[in-house]
Amino acid sequence: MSGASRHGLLAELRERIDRVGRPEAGLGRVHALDGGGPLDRALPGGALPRAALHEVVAAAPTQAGAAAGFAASLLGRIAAGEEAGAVLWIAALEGEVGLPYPPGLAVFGLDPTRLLLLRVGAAEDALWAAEEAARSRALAAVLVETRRLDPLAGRRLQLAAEAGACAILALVVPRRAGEGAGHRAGFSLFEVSGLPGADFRVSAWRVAFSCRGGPGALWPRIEWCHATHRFGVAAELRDRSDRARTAAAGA
Amino acid sequence: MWLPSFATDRIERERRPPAPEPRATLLAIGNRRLLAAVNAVAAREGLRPGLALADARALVPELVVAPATPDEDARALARLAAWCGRFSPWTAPEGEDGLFLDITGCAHLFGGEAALRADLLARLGALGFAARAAIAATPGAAWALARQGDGGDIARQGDGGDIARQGGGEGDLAGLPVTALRLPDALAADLIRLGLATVGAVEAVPRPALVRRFGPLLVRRLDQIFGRLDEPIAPLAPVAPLRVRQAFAEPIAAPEQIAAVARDLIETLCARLAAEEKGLRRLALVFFRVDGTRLEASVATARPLRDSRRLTRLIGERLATLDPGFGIDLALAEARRAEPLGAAQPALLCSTTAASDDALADLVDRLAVRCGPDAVLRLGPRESHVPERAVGRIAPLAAAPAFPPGPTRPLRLFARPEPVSALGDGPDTAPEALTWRQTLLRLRRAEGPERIAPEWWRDAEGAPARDYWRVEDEAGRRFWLYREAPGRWFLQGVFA
Repeated sequence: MSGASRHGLLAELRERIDRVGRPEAGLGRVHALDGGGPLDRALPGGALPRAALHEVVAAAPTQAGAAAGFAASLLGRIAAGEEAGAVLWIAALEGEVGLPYPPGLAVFGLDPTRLLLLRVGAAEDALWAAEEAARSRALAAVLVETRRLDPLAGRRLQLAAEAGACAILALVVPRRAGEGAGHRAGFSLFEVSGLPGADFRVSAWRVAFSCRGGPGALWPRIEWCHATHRFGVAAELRDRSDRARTAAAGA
Repeated sequence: MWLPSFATDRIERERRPPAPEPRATLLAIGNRRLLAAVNAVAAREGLRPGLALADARALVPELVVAPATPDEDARALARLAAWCGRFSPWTAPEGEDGLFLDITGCAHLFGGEAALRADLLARLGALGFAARAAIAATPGAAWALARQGDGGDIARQGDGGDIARQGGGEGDLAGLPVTALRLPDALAADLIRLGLATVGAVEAVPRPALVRRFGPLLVRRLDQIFGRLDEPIAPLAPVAPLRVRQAFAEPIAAPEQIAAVARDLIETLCARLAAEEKGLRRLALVFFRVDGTRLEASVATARPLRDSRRLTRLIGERLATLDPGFGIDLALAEARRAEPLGAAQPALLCSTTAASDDALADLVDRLAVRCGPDAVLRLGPRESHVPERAVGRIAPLAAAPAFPPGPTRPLRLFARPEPVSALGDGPDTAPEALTWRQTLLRLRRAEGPERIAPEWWRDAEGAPARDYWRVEDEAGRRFWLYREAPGRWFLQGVFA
């Protein structure tokens, strides 16, 4: 059996096992991040499952703004796959980075008229609200800001996302650099730090990605264009991520 | 209702002495110390308010005194008026030692007017308040009869007071002394000096003469006591348009009993609302403890609701925090705010089906109960260029208008712009570095300025125009800065 067909068979079997364990996961819709580009190819099955927890972790406390931008663009992609439904943003870091400002969200592909904000003071209230919201089946997606997501809280959010068939994004801004990405409780984890951009109409990040049932990836530079609302991975880096993937598959 | 020794009863109630003792409160006027109020025991010994303390001590050596605290008395009286909400929603404190209850339409719940009064006096007596109550067709007549009626000795149990004959009872009223007219002491004394000692005698004098000699107050009081002038009782809190009640022979205290009572009351209330085609926007449950404390739990909903199961679940979390003490003997469910709930439903936030409408409204309500009524926030566009005024709160479930296209705005905004110290800024250039929250940021890129002038009609004192800049530091962090005046820089937002 050649390496490529064995990889395909394994991926298919993994997907079937996933569906056995979590009936909702098989039914949940998926969302193309960059239309079959390197981001999508790093995901098992080529897309992000909807009924799951996705963590966006700031690489350092100073990266809170950059991580919020990446999370907003991810939230925008997920909500855009839904023709209707509100998006709940649970703001728990108002003191550090301010409150999400609706006129500034449109450039990340997030429709501000669909946005509901919840201001909370206590971390446990934020996590409780995220669970309630995901289980309510009333929303297209939920984003919850938090200082840390311990394995138990992460597991609870993952179960709530599966039960309510609703995507939960956890925006984790740790108190110290590198603290938030130690353990992945949900389906996927993006560790994000901002990069200087070519101009103010492009946002750029360095992203370390890991997910369930996939090899993960490190993208030194992902860009988001404010005009086209699309992710892009620089050409020379696309090759490297493909090489990493083939190597992992062949191993 | 008259509480002749309210100020001293209130103190005695808190101290719980083993045996009745003569008690008074003191008021210092200049260097004289006068009795302000006396209790029943002291009154029997011949003490009266206004007596000097030295004289009182000579009469009753064992007299217990405490300083008079009119503010606290007023607050306690207001609390007692709220407690009287168990008899009628229209209750109000009157003066320093009285309460008005409008029991129109309430008496049948207690088995008639006499039974209501007996119940009221018995409960007050158990709480330690000496009281006299009279029921009459007008507040003025009730005031007069409670204080002047021939109820005999002031009683702690329910034998004090009068019920005036239905339809006015003018015969009884005419015989009362003029002090029953709620007049200032000086005016009443003048009338008595002129030989007008009874209400009937004053009533017989031609009215123009009365107004000329004594002013408009006397005639107004006469009209009020005989019902020629309406005198509505203004309750302390707005009266709920709809309420249901349940009294218990045995006080309840167990949480599951309270929850069951709440469920029953809410079901009854919802049935009444359904008949009126209304839904609840604000629901309150009021519980009366046997010790005279009033407990309240209330919830607000994002849109009219009369699903008793949902309302019970919403208010359930609030009920758990109530302390039933030694038990609760009466519960009320009040529809504080009700709105029409019919076929026409408001347009909801991007929903597709009625089921998801309900789920969203339900979620918003539950989040508000746990996180606070203002925590759930929806922001819509406002007509302003000033960033913090360009968005405003809209109803959580309303259909939102779109934001107009405009210049680039930050991803996140601080509620208050934070002052920063800037280095190397010129009149038309952004700074080269700035210190924000004790950190030095070296800037490598800047775009601007975008001038935003405040609305001149909003800020009378003339707030300065702001020059906004987008800046990026060496690490790629992006901020929104503005300069208000040379050298005065603020950081207002964060870009990604």
